[in-house]
Amino acid sequence: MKTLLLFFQLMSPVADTVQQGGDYPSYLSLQNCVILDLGPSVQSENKNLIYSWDFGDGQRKLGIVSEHCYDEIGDYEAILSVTDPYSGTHFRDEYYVDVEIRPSVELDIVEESAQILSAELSAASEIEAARFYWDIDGQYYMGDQIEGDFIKGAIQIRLLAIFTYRGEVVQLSKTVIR
Amino acid sequence: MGYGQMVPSEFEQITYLVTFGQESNPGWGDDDFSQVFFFIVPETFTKPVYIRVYDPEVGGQLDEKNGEWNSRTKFSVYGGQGTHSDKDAKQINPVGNYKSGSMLATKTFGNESRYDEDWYSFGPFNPLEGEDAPELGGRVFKVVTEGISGDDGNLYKYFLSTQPYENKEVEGANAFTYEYSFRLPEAKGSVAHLYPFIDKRVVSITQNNFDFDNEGSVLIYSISKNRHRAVASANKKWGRSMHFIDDEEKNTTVDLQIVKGRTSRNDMVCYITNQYEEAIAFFSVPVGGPPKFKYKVDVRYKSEEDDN
Repeated sequence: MKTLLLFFQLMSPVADTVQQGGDYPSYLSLQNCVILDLGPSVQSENKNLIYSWDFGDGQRKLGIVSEHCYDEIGDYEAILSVTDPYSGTHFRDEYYVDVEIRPSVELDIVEESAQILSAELSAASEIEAARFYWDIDGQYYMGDQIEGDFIKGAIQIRLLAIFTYRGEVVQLSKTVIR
Repeated sequence: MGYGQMVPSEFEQITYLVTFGQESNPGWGDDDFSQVFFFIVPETFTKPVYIRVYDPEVGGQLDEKNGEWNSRTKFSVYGGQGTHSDKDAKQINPVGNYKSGSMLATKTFGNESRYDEDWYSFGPFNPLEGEDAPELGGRVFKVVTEGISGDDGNLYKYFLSTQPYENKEVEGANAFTYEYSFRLPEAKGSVAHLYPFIDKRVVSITQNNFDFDNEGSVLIYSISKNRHRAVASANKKWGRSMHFIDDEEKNTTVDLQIVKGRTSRNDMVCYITNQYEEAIAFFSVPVGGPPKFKYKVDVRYKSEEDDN
C-alpha cells in the first residue's frame, strides 16, 4: 500500500468549528477540507478513465480533482478506484492516502494532582492573551492553574478559555463531569 | 516462487491455451493453428523435469467442438542447440526453422477420453538436454503445439514438474512465448494479463491482438502507464497500436490487460514487437513481479486560495 501522510498545517482561521458539547466547542478546526489532485498522474492516454475516491467516511466523489470536507475529527483512509468506461470494469484499491483531520487548537483540563487543575491549549505558540475562567460546582475562579481542596470533591468542572489566535478572538470551553 | 509452473499462470488470469485444427476458421480465434512455448529450468536445478499437458486431447468437456470431433493436436518437445537461439524460434509465425533444436519427445492426440480433463507427462528430461541460455538464467526447452487436422479447438494447460504423475514445481522456473493463443475468462469485467519484459533497447512497442471481437478494452499498464488504451481487434481482424516506452519502463515488465466488456466465450491471439519488429516474449511469471503504476497525487488541505 502506498501511503501519503497529510500533516496538519495551520492556515488562516475559518468559521469551521466542531461543537463537542457545551456552549462553545472544545477545539478549533481550521482545515477539514482536503483536495486530492490526480492531475500529475493523468496523461492524455488515460484521461478518459473514471477516477473515484472513497474518502473513508462513507462519501465518494468522482473526478481527476476531488474535494471533500469531513464532518468529524479523525484519521481517514481515502481509497482510489478507477473505471474503464469502455468495458465498464472497475479496478479497486488503486491507491491509498491517509488523511488526518485534527483540531488546530484544543482546550484540555489537566489534573496535576487531587488539588491542582491546569488549563492547556495546544498550539500554545500561536496563542496570545489567553484567559481562563473556571466554574467548579458554581464557584468561579480565574487563572491557568487553580489549586485547593475544593477540587478533590468537585462534581462538575467547566473551563472557559478566551484568547487571540492569529488576530481573531476565540472562545473554547470544556466541561468535565465526575 | 510458485505460480509459474502452470501455464497459463495465476498471474495471467487466462483460462486455457488454445490451438485449433488446420481446417478451422481463423475467426474462431487462432490465426496460425500453432503455439510455441519455452520453459526455463534454472541453471542450478539438476534433477529430471517433466512437461505435463492438461487435457491434451481434442474432445470431451473442455475443448471447442465444431460439428463432430475430428481434430488432432501434436505436441513436440525440443531441447539442445538452437532450441531458442535460432532466429526462427523467436518469430511469431510458425515458419522457417522454428522447430529448431533436437526433438526429445512427441505425441499426437485426437478425441480420446483417457486424457480428457487429465494430464499427460512428457519426460523425464535431464535439464542438460535443454539449450544453455545464460541470458535467461537456465536451460530452455521448447514445446511446439500444432493443430494438424480438423476444425475443433484444443484447450489445454502446461505444468513444468519435477514429478511425472503430479504437479511439483521447479523452483525458480519460468515459461514464455512470443505469440500467445488463449481463451479469455468468460465473465464480463474479468481481466487477462500478459507480461512482456521490456529490455533496455526498447523505445517503442507495437501490440497486436487478433479476433478480440471488440468485446472490451486492451489496456497497457506499467509503472508509468495507467491503462493506456490500445487498439482492440474485431472479429477475424488484427488490432495494432504503437506505444512509446518511457525510460523508467526499461528493464521492467509491462502488463497488457485484456478486459472483457461482456460475458462470452472468446479465443484470441496476442504478440508484441519492438521498434525493430522483433517479437518480445510474454513471461508466465512476470519478471520482477507485476508492475504497479506509480500514482502521483497532489494532496493538500483546502485554503482560501482554492475558493478564489
